[in-house]
Amino acid sequence: MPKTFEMGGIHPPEDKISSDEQIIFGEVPEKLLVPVDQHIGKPCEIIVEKGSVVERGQLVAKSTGFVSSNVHSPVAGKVDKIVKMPQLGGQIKQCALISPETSGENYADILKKDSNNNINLEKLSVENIRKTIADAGIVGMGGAGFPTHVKLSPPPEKTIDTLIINGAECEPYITSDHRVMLEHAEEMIKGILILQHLFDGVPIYIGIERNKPDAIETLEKAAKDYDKITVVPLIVKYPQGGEKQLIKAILNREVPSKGLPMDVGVVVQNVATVLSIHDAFYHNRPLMERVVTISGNLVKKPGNIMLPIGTPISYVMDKFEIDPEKVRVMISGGPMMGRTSYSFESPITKTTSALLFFDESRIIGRDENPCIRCGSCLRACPMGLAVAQLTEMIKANNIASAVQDSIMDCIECGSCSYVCPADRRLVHWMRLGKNIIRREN
Amino acid sequence: MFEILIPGFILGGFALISSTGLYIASKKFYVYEDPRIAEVTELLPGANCGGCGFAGCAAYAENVVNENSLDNPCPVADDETMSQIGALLGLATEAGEKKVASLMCKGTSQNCKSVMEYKGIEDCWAAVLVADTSKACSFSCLGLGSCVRACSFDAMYIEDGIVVIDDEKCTGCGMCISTCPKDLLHMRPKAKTTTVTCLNTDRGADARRACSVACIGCMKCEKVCEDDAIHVNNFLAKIDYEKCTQCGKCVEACPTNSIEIREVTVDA
Repeated sequence: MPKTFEMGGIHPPEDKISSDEQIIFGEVPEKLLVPVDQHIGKPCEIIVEKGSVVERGQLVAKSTGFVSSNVHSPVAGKVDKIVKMPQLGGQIKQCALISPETSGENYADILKKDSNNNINLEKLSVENIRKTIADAGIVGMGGAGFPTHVKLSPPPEKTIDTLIINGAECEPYITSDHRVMLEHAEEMIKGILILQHLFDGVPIYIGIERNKPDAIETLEKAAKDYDKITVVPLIVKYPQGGEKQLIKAILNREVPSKGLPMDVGVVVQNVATVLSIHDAFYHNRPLMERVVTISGNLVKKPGNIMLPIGTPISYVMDKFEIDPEKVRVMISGGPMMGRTSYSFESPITKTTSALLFFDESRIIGRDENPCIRCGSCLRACPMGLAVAQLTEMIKANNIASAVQDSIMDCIECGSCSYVCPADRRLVHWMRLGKNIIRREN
Repeated sequence: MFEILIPGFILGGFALISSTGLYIASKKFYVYEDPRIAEVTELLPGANCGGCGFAGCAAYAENVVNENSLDNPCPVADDETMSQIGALLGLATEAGEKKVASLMCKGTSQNCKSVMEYKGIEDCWAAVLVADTSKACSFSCLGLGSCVRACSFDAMYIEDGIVVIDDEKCTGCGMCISTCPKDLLHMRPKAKTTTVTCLNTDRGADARRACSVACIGCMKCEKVCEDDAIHVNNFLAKIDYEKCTQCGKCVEACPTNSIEIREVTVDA
C-alpha cells in the first residue's frame, strides 16, 4: 500500500520533461564565480585573495562556526578578484572569480582524476565521519542548504532510531535527484551505509514518489543485500519532499509544532547529499559540483548536467541554446519553492537543483484580488495553518496573534498561493510575517 | 389611568438604587490623577505618532508628569509648545534643534535603472525577501513605500520610483527610520539643508555604473570644504552637521550631483 501524508497538499502538473535525459558533463567554463556563502548559518570567512593560486579542492572560504560550511574551488586556477555578485536567491554576496587553468577540458575527465579510496566502515569512528563531512563542506542539497554535519550531530538527549533518504522530488520539472538515483544507485547505497554506521545501524527508508518507477526499481535492486534498507514508494503529492511531510508519510510520526525531525527520532537526508557524502569518503572530494536540471519552455532540449559550483548561468544558456532575449522568468529550484533571479551572471551554488527558463506565455500576471473566504488555502496547507487569517493578521500588524496561530510552522511550500482563486500572494505574506517576527526577536 | 405611574415608579426606583451605587463606588474607588496630565495632553500635538517611544500623546504626558522631567522632549511639538509645557510643570526647557528625516538616495527611474520587474507585495521588506534590490544599485530606495505608510503626518510620497520628503510637513518624529530595509532614512537638523543623497559604499566605478548620481568617493568635496565638515570614508561622503556652515562649495564641486542643498520650501 503506497503511502503519503494526510493533511493538505496539492498535485500540480508534473512536467518532468527531462527525466529520461542522462546526466551530461560540460566543459570547464572560462570563469567560475565561487560564492562564499552557500548555506544557512554563519557566513564563511574568505581565505583567498586577488592573485592567489588555487588547486582543485582547495579551501576558498572557511567555516566560522559550527553551523557554517566550507567552500572549495572546483578547479585549479587563479583568483582574479573578489567580487560582489547577485546570487540566484536574489541576495548580493561575495564571490571568488577564478580563471581555471583547465578551461575547456571536459568536467568528466577532471572527475576521473580524483583519487579512489577503499573505506573500511568498521574502522571509521563517529567523530571521523562527522569531521570528514564538515570538512567537505556538505550541505543539504535539496534546496535549503543546512550544513549536513549539524544535522548529523543531534544533542545526546535525542536518540535517532530511523534515517530517511529523501528521493521524493515532488517539485514539478526537477529531475536531478531522479537521475542521481538511476545513475548513482551503488554510490548512494555506499553513502547511506556510512550514515547508517554513524547512527549505530538504524533502519533506513528511501522515500520515492511513484512517478519514478525506474528509480524505485533500481534502488530496490541496489539495496537487496541490505535488509535494513527499505525503498518506500509514495503516492505523488506536493510537498512530500518536505521533511515533516515525508516523516508523516513513511513513519506516520508527527513532528511537533516548532520541532525538528530529531524530536521524533528521525534524520532526513536528500539523495544528492548522500551522493556527496559518498564522494567525500571514497574520492576525497569535497562538495564541488552537483547535478542541475535545465528545463522550462524556452529550453529546446531539456536535460541534466553535472556542473562545478560557480558556473555562471550564461554558460548554461550557451550550452542549452537559450535565447537571453526571450527569457522573462528564470527560476533556480522548482517552480513552487524556487527563487526567481535576475542576473545571467549569477553562479550555480550547492543548492541549485534546477534552472528553469520561461518566456512571456508562462506569466499570468494577474493582480491580487480580495479574499472570497473559500477556504482553499486552509485545505491545501500541509501544516494545517489558517493561511487567509494569518495573512490578514500580518497585514494588520497583529504579530502576537500570528505567532499564537503558529505562523512560524509555515514551510513556505506555496501550496496556498497555488490554489488561491483570488491570486493572493499568500506565501509571500507568510514569508514577510515570518521575517517581521525574526527581525523583532 | 394610574397604571402608567407603576412602571414610572419601578424605573425611578431602579434609577435611584443604581445612582446611589455609582455614587458610593466613585467615592470609594476614587483614584487621584494629576490634573496636569490632562493639561499636558491638551498641549501636545495629539497625532499619537509614537515618535517619543510611548504609545501615544496621553501616555507621554503621563510619563512627563510622573517623572517630572522633560529630558525626552516631544519630537513633534515646536519650541513654543514645549516651553508652555515646561511652564506648566515648572521645568526649564531647552530650545531643541528641530530635525527632519532625509532620504539618502536619488536613484529615480532615470538615474538608476531597474534590473527586474517586481510584482509581489507592495512593501519594501517583502521585496527584499525576493531580491536584495530591484534596481541596478543595491543600496537604492526601492520606492515601495513602507516608510510612507509609517508616516502619520502625510509628509512622504513616492515620485519616480523613490520616496520624496516634504520638509515642511515632516515633524521629525522618526517613525519612518526603522521601516527602511536599506537604512536610507536619516535624521538631520532642519536648518542644515545640505545633504549627501547617496549611501553607496561600492568603489567609484561600480557605483557610477549602477547609478548616475552615486557618490563615487572622489574626495573633491573633502578638499573644497573649508570647515572640515565633510569626509569620505569607505567611498562615501558624510557631512558632520556640527561643523557644516552650508557654504555650498561641496555641492558645486561634486561631479556626480550626489550632494544637494534642499530648498527650504517644497511644493507638495
